[in-house]
Amino acid sequence: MSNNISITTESLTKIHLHSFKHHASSVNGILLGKVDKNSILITDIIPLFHTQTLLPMFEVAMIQIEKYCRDNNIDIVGYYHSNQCIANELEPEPIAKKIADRLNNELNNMCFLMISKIEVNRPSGLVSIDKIGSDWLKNRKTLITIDTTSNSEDINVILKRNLQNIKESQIYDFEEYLSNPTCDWLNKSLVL
Amino acid sequence: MSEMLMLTSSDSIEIYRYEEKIRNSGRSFNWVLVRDTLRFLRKSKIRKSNLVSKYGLKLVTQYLNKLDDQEGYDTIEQVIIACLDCGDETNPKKLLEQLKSKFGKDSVRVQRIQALCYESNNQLAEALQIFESILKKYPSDALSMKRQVAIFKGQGNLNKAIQVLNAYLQIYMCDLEAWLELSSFHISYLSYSTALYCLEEVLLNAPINFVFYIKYAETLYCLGGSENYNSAIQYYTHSLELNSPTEMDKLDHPPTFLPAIYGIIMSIYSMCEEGHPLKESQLKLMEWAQNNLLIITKKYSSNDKLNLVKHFIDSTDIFNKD
Repeated sequence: MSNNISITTESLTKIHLHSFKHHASSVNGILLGKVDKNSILITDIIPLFHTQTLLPMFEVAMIQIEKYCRDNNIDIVGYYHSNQCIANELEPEPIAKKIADRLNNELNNMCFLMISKIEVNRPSGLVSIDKIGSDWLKNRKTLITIDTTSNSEDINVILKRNLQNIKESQIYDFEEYLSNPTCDWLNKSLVL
Repeated sequence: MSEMLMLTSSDSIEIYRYEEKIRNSGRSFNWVLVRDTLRFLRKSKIRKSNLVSKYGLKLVTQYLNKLDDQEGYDTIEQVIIACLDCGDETNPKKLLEQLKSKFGKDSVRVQRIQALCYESNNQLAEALQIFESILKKYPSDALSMKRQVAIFKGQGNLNKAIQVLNAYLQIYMCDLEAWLELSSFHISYLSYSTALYCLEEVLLNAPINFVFYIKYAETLYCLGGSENYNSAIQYYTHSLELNSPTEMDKLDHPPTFLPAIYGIIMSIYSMCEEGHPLKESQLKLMEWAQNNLLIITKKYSSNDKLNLVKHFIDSTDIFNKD
């Protein structure tokens, strides 16, 4: 089953800012949006953790995210992950595979994306990891397009501007909320 | 891993204050402030490479004579490492030459920095060679061993990294950071029981740090089963004893014990789901945790969170079940 995966500029920026904020760790989060039989549109993301993902807090986050989705008429459509080391950049860590398996079992259709470098032949910097047999393997051929309907700026331009303004310090993930309840893990007031 | 250690003390608040002061000093360069900030960062081992490379570089190139000898060279080393972290290669080379001319090429500390420069340039074989030669002369050089672990980890060779780290820990059994790092290797391989063993060593070495009890409890929870949920509850409550919610009103910063409260609720709920009978004290604990979670959310979080937290409490409720 191959999907057409599309992601809004804002969601893509948030994913990269999250990984820039915690540049020395592995980061992960949940993708939200709309899903069809074989197309997925990612319209928002919830950054989750930037140290190891352990089960109890992951479940706490998922329960609250599911409620948020129901209230806002949006679906959980996938999971994004970035390894800690560049050496095996596109081989998901075991915990990432575990989470992807769980989401795959619970959802009709989902995508698992890993963060990589933004290049000419990979304009989003994301690579899709597909379930082949019982394993999760990278599939560079799956095209991930950037949905520019609400924001047509080039991703490199947006990222550069935000990084120069140290905007990445204002994106909060669930783990930061746990150590400081004033942090908004929904990132509602983040203007890119 | 250093993020975990930061959470514990007022270090994170203090570094925030230093950063604010530096930001507010605007275009004028306050070398005393920068020197003090760098001093604090050396002591607390917090990683702020952008800050150090930007301001520290100016300090050591233009104001080196204002620092006394030993501190000057310590600061140069700190700035080199920060610049390498930021991907800068030209400045570290120049500063390293300065160190070489002062201390000689054979100084172990200078050699380690040279190896770091190789590492940053992806010349891992050369870096490993330097560390091996240092270890031949000084077999217990902790920093060289740790860099070896870091190189293997960076290469993605976790097995080799674990091997070297185990050998290191045979010698340095009280190195908290090393046990934490080893536990994180095992957690990334999902070997939770081995990770628990490492975390026990961490707890032995830092028995009053509440963060590690939470980490231990979360790893117990990952293993699953009523016995582990039961133990997890004990560790969560112990972490609350060390990071007391009763003093919440006296804090000048938001509470940091949400993981413990959430963890208690999840553990008790999971025990209940498995059909395990709950003690009276655990029922009271659950009620207390649910109430406290609501209080904290109402006081510190934005309005939209209250709905989500209420739903969470309902979903994990054990009192109103049929």
